[in-house]
Amino acid sequence: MLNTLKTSFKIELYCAINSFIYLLRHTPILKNITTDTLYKQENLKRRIGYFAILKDLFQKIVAKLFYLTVIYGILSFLFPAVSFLLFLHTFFFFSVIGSLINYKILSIGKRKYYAVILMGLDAKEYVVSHFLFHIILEFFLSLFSLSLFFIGIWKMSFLIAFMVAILVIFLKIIGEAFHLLFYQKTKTLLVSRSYIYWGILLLGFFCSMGLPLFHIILPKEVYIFLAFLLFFPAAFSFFYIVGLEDYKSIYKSVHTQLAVLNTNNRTAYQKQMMIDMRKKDYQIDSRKLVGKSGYDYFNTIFFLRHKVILSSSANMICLISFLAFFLLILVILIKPSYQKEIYSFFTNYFAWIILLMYFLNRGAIITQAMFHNCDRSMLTFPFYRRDKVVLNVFFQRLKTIVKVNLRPAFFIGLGYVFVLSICNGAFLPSYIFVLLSILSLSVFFSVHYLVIYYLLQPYNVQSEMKSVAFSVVSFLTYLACYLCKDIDLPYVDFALLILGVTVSYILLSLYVIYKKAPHRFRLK
Amino acid sequence: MKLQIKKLSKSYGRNQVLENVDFTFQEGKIYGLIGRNGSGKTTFFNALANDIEIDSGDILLDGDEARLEDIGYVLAAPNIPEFLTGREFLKFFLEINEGKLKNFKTIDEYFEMVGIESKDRDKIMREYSYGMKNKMQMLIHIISNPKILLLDEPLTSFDIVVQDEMKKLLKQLKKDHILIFSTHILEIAMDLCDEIVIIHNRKLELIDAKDLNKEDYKNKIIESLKDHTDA
Repeated sequence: MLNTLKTSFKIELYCAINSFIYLLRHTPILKNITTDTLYKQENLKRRIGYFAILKDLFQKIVAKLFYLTVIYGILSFLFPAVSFLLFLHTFFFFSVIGSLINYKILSIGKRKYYAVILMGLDAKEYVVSHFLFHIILEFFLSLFSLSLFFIGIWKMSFLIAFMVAILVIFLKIIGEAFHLLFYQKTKTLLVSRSYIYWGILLLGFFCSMGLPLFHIILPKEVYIFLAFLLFFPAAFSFFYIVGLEDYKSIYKSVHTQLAVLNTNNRTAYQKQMMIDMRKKDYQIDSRKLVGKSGYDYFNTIFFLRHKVILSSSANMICLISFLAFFLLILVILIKPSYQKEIYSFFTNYFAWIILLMYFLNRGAIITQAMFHNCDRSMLTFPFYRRDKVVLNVFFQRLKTIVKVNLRPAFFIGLGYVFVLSICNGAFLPSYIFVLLSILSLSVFFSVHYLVIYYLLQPYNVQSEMKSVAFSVVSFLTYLACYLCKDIDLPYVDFALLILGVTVSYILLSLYVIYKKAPHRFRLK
Repeated sequence: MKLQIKKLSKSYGRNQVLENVDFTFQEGKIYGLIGRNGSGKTTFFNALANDIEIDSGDILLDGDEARLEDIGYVLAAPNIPEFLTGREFLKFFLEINEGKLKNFKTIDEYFEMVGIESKDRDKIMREYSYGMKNKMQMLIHIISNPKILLLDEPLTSFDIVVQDEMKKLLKQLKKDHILIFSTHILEIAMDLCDEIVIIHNRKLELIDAKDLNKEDYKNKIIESLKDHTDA
């Protein structure tokens, strides 16, 4: 078993080292001063290997400390003082969430695939040795970081940190076994069911942060009791994990589910799922295509079959904003004493609406879906790259995206105006400009994402974002939105500013699109 | 009509893939392009199809620079918009090319041309088999009627019946076109192509079949590839 562990680490290490050398060989300047012989230099690779192990360990320690600091930070923000029991309460529920939504054994990465499926390492030995290694490492990392926190901040004894670290490990073992058991019974991953995933998160967050808001904090006796109580399920889980035989076939089928070879990791896979069509959208209502032809026909079908990425999500935002504003208005009506505070919040922080509209805009996902499901293939046909076709498709898309995004913007704007009017006791004509600002921002972001997509076409054939220019523009967009949050202007001036910027931006970008898009909108 | 490649060069960093390639392709012929793995076939096709920027050289069609619409490139892996049904794809394509296409047929007649059955025509193309996707890709290029058609391993995904149909279709097409056909399967190339061109040592070279029987010609091609590599 030790040999299997050593071999698998060697494979992982060599993968990491070779990836690092590959990166060097593809970095400007560095590629000119290095050669492919680097791959052959065993001594150098060994040294890089030691360095990689140390770096990995260091990263893990930093991550643990960062995690505890974030919990402490959030609690300090929410509560006047962070007592040890409050911290422990939140940390405990976070650990429960973590054990239920994170999993090691069933996670499949390229390296695990290479080791178990491609190179044929004994799957069971691989799982058990890695599991033990992970648990032991996790215990020491938790012990170290918890001791620092508990002793440093609350002057607690080392024994308490030790006990909490044990509790964390029990939760992890039970969580891993639970994931495995769920997979064995249902042949699906627990977290692949979004209602379970979100249910755990919501309930977990409520217990960890919500209960203390209602002054409910677990007493320390509970942890002592749990540490003893969980020993038995943890032991049972441990033997379940160690006792399972058929890990190879489990990996093969999980691997198929995650399509990991093409997507590299779960996040990328989920991202791909987000931009994919739903089977129920294959059939479209033919009445919606009556009278349509050419570009309009093509564009309409695209958006009808990808409802999930555009109209459904716009409808969802409409619904959520409606509910949010409805609840807020209800609170104002029930507790009129809050009116003044809410009014001043909505007035003083109005410029934050730029940042909110930035986050609500789904331009990045929409353009990725356009590329992945449409342009990636269409651009291989010369007719689709003709100037006229590029521009016509662009304008059809622009019309649809602007139209659909205006809907949630209208809901948010209207809700905002309602809240202001109710708090103020009267509707002021200047509130119209609040609505106008929000609608303008929606148009601005709709145009912006489509324009940068057409001008920079940042995706490669695998739909991976590979353009530095696109990343820089996206970052600058975020930065600009963030900085705009400090704009302090009356509603009318603010709206005129936003409108002016939007109109100028549209005119300028359409000019650039007209001149440049047909030459720049290409496969990379 | 002739397609002239003049002093075409392309490199990726230090790796020179094509170097001063000079070659002339003639109308009415199918050219089989053969080369070993990594010899530059895809780069050559990408350069012709204007999918990559070339370092230097000219691609001329009857003396003028070849335009985007002069060249169709049928990729080895079919790349079609899978969110459309076969019929929707053809409808869109025909509508935006109205006035540009010759010998205009109905959508169903086009389907007939490549043997897509009625039951599949209104299915979303995501549900098509690999071969059917390939047929759709080929069909769009055939209807577009570019003067030059580049075909990257086009027949290997088809079953033998469809392969035979496609061969016949390509033979019909060659009359007013230049077809350049890349393949690793020598038998297909020898069976279908009028000329065999090898790509090796960063150059194109026509392998003359004059006075040779099939077996000797085959050996000559293999030897030419070997000679260049092992020299």
